[in-house]
Amino acid sequence: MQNPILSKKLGIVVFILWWTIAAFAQFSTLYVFYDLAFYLSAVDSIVFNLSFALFSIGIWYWVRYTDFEKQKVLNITLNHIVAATLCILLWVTTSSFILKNIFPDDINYNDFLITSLPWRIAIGTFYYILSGLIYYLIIYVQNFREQTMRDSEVKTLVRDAELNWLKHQINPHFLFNSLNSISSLTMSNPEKAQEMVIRLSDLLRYSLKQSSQSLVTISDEVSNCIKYLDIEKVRFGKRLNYTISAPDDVMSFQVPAMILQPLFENAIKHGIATISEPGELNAIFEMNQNSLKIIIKNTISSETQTAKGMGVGLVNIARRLSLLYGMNDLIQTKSNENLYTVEVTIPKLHR
Amino acid sequence: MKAIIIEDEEPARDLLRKFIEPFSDIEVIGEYIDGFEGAKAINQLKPDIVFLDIQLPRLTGIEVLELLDHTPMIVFTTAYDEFAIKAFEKNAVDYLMKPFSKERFAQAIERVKSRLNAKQPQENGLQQLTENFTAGSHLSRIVVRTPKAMVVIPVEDILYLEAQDDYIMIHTTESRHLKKQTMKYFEERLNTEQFVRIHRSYIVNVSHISKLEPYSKDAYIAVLKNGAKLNVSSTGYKSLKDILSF
Repeated sequence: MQNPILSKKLGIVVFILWWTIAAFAQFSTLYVFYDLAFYLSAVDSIVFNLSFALFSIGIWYWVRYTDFEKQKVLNITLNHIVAATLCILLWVTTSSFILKNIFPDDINYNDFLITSLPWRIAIGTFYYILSGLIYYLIIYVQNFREQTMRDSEVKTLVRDAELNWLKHQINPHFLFNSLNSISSLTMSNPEKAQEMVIRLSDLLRYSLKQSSQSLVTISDEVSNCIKYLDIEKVRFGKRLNYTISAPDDVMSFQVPAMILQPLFENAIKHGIATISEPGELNAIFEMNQNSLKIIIKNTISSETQTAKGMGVGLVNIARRLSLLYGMNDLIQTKSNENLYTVEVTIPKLHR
Repeated sequence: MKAIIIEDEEPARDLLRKFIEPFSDIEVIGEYIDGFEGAKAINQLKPDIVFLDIQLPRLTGIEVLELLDHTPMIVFTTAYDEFAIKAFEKNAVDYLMKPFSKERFAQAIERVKSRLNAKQPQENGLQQLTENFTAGSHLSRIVVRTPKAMVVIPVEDILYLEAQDDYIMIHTTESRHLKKQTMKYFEERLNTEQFVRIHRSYIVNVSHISKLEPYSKDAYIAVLKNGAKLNVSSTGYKSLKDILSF
């Protein structure tokens, strides 16, 4: 990362102005109080301040890589003491060396260079601390700004998600087609119609109960999805054949509510509903060390297969997962001739 | 009156059959569960009335319309489809929103009967319907009726479209098909990042262009990967430049 002072015009102006003032103050002190010749005072203050100005640019990198959030305060303090000692020694010796070589014959001035060492070291320490503090302040302000921006971004996303939540809960196409099936069954098979009404009610109740933030177990999600699939089974008949393989150890795994049903809806919308022959829909749950893997495979039409990658439904799930877990690669899809596979990884929550 | 039901869900088909039953003058001569078989049946059996779902396997109800050489009275049935409903309303085509009542169904039948008696063909309305329905979205496939068969062409397989009087010749990687349509129609409905109008008579799939050769001062020739050579006008050259950013 570049030095923040030198990366902005204003920074450079302030930087130059500051060191000019510092040099002028030193010049005045030497000229007025130490009775040094005009040119000696001038060259002395220019050499010392210009060299520290250069050193202070380097201090940034030292500050940058000693991060208070990642390291212990004691470590950082020790680091800085070592750095300051080196920096100040180097600064005093090089500056003195340069000045000695500019005025090799001025014995008085050479003496002055030696006697003034203590206060030069004091000034150096002051400069070092000042530069360090300014850099830490800059980092703090930058972090603060980034954090506020990130916070507001997350807030907007959460609000959007909440707004979309209800809308996405009830897929109108599914709802009205199911109601139409019920309407038909009331005449041909009233008992089945009643069953379907109850299933549909359970499904709606489940989705209304959850908010976009709530957590449920896989067991809850799976039993909700079975209700969903049984309703779809009435609509699609022989065309829908589903299996769910969920071992006992996944049942208590916590997941965001309503994460599963959209995956099945997607498989039906882009798979089962697009083919007239019987199709398969298989869901497999696998428990891994730190995550749960959900694999959903469904038959797709080989002749009219045009959709590539993820549709809107999957993109929405991917967005929700990345919002909740802060990872972007939780959904993978692949398709071949007539099989579409979605793999979802849900990390364990540490709450 | 002969009727055909094209509907992919069994309970929905049962319902339609039950609602049709009281109309002794209507005879259901066929039931089909996908758009492809449905379209074939309409052309072969020439029914007077068709109950057509929109969301169907293989072909949508709207694509079915494009394949018909016999246009019966069509009553659309749909559960929920904002696009379709807008298109229906614009073109005064009769449609039933699922679930619908017996009364509403009877009303639709009466309307069809009075149109048949008045000999008001739906044809123009249906053509208009297709245009409205597809407007504003990108086509993912094009359906074509040939004397022998019905063909579904995924847009990725299209090399280029060529204007031929009132028809468009669709050149694909494997063959070519003629469709009655306008260049403007396809220009507006194909993804403009993939398909570019390079000439009065050509829309080309840019992913199949292998090189551009200068032809005269302002004109170029696009050479496709299969060797086909197409004229490129100066405006076409500019559009290509924008899309391919060279």
